[in-house]
Amino acid sequence: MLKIVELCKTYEDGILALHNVCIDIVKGQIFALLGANGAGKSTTINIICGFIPASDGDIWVDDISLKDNPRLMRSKIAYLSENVMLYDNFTGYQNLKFFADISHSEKRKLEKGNISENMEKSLSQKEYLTQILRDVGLQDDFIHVNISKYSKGMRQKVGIAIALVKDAPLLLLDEPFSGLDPKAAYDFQKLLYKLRNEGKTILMSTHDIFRAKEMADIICIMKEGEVVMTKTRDELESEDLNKIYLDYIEGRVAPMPLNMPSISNFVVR
Amino acid sequence: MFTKLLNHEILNLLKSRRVYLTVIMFLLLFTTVFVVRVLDYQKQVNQYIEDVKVNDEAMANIENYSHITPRAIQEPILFSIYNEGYRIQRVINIKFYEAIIETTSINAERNMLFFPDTELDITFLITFFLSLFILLISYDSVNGEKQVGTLRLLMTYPLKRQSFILKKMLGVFIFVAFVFTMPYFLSIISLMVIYANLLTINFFISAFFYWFLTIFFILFFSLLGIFLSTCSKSPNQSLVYAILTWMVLCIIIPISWDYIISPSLSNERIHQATQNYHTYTTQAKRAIEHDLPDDANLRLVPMGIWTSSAGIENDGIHEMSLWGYDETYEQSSRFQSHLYENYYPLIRASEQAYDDVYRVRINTENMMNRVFFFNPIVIFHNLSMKIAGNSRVDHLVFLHTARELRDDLVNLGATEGWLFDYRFYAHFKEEYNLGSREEMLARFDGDRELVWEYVNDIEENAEMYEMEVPVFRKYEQPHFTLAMMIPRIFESMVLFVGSIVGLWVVIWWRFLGYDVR
Ligand SMILES: Nc1ncnc2c1ncn2[C@@H]1O[C@H](COP(=O)(O)OP(=O)(O)O)[C@@H](O)[C@H]1O
Ligand SMILES: [Mg+2]
Repeated sequence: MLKIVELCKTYEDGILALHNVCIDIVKGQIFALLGANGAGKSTTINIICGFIPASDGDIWVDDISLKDNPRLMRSKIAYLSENVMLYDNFTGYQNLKFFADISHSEKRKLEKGNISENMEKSLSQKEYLTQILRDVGLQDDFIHVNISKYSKGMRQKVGIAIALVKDAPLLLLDEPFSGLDPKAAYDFQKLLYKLRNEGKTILMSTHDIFRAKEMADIICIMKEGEVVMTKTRDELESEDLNKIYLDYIEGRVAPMPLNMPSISNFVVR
Repeated sequence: MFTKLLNHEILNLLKSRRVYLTVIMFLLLFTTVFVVRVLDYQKQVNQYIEDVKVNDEAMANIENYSHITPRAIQEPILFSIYNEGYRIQRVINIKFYEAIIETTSINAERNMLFFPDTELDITFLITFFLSLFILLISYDSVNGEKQVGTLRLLMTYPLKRQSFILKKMLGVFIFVAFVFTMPYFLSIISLMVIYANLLTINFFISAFFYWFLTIFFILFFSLLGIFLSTCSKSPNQSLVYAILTWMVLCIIIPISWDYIISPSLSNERIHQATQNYHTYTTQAKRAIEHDLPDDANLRLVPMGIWTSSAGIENDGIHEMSLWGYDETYEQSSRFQSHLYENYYPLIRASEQAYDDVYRVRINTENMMNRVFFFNPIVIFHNLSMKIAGNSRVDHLVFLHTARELRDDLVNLGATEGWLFDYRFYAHFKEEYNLGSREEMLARFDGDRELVWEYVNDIEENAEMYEMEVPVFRKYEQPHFTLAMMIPRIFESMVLFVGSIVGLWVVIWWRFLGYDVR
């Protein structure tokens, strides 16, 4: 589904933010990027989103390459950042409608009419969007209230609703849990499970080791721009992730060797 | 798709309280300025009607007076409600009989923005406030969305960066253009109601061009605001940039041009022209006071500046009546022809010198246009004056027409003889030929009251000389057509459009490499 191949990023001021990062995510997985502040998690996600150019390497989503077709790539991803970004002067519903409008008309253009209009056919757009807001758990009273009156959790819900409406197979979440109260975080976690069950692939960065261990199918630890460990849920089953994390971060353990035979196949392809 | 973006952008502006306040402020100011200017125009119209009446009366009574003062009167321009332009003298007296010619050339002129006695007009409002308003609306259009993060979110949709910047630009532009157009057209409609009979096609041409120019002006400032908002990460910082830029364009450049650059460029030439003017006027003065023919008896020359400066007022105003008709006539006629030959050419030369000053100013103004082609304030100001017919050039044209008129009259008088012919003052019968002042006083035992009575009596019984009244036409405002307008504004317009396109290219180029995070 998502393949990051030897991704490197050096910022203009010479900071080496990413060095040969390789990540491979299978469809329907939740992938957690762990790492200290400044490890390069956001940089990775920003590159996938196309906010900043990569210095080297490439990213593939399905069979679309970021280098070759950045615009089509963007129709494959939905992005949710730590501080959910919405238009403050509009209500939750209006925000959702705006992004729904632009995602649909853009899709239509790109895929030339071949669009999955899911429930929209039977429901009016308004009912459909309201339904989505309900699905992500926004209280009805708040649907038509200005975003500026929303709590962080509610913004997060609208943000994920926007991502849902975009109907992209890959969700990129940059520290989605930071700043959420326990109840909101729990709701959000349930929502992500639901999305995974619907077949979405989720890449999220987080500091929250426990939640990562609980949720993620694959966990990856980054340190100073390099991937130092990648393990599946099964591999970690009986281990203490917290300890492993600290060991890696404090340099008590040597980084795992890159063990991704699929990459060469991929590149040759 | 793009329309959806645009709708959203405009809605977003409409919902922002800052924009709301700005618009209300602008509308309030517009209304106030419009009302003030309409009242002022009404004053001008009343003055004009008064002037015309005075003139008509003078012309009607021309047979009863020896000297007439026709006037060239410029109609007040209705468009001065929107653009007052330079304060110009709208009435020019033409005293042709004495050949003392007064056509004033240089008048109090105004710097629209900074003269202490500035009166507000719509052009001032646009250049000074609308520019600020646009910047206040648009200073955070890009980095504001970047700060909130919606820019990033938008960039994960497959839209082009160009669409984003275009949406921003068009959003601000359409919004402000609407906010300006609405009260502008309302104001024109109310003028149509109030001054229906004064409106000419000329007015509508001006009004259309003015609107057109303002649209360009708005476009430029929308672009400028967006450009500034891509120059810094934080909206606060770009607000500071916006205000600084506004101050530079709106205050520092005009002031420094008016008080530093323009004087240093044109002082030498203006000084020279002024010198010429003084030389000619001094010579002209000498021509009246000193270079007279030896045997001239100035006491017999009744009117004009000579008499008033000679101070015959107290008991001498009728002194010429006390002499014989022939002598009076001859002296007066000689004086007039002296003036015509010696004084009048000097007056014309001094007028030429005056005009030179004007021409230097026009040139420096045109130069300013070229030097500050990037400053829409300067160009807009200049263009709107040309469109309204309120520029210096227009005033020079008015002056020239008035002088032509005067020259025609003076030359006509000279060829037909009546310029030098004092007889049409009064025609005395032979028996009224009087002796000298002393003789008269002796005749009435030194009683001056009796002398005056006698003289008045004579005057009442005098036969007026039938003189042919010279043809005089009123000065009329030139009515320019579309074909005249376009060459007038072509150069400035090109500079204006050029700077807009340039700015657009810069923004485009900047935004393609813009860091959206
Ligand atoms: N715009 C930038 N310019 C220069 N260096 C940057 C920029 N953004 C991030 N960095 C650097 O790149 C590294 C990785 O940052 P980031 O990806 O934000 O880390 P994380 O999200 O894991 O905390 C850090 O060392 C950071 O200082
Ligand atoms: Mg981060």
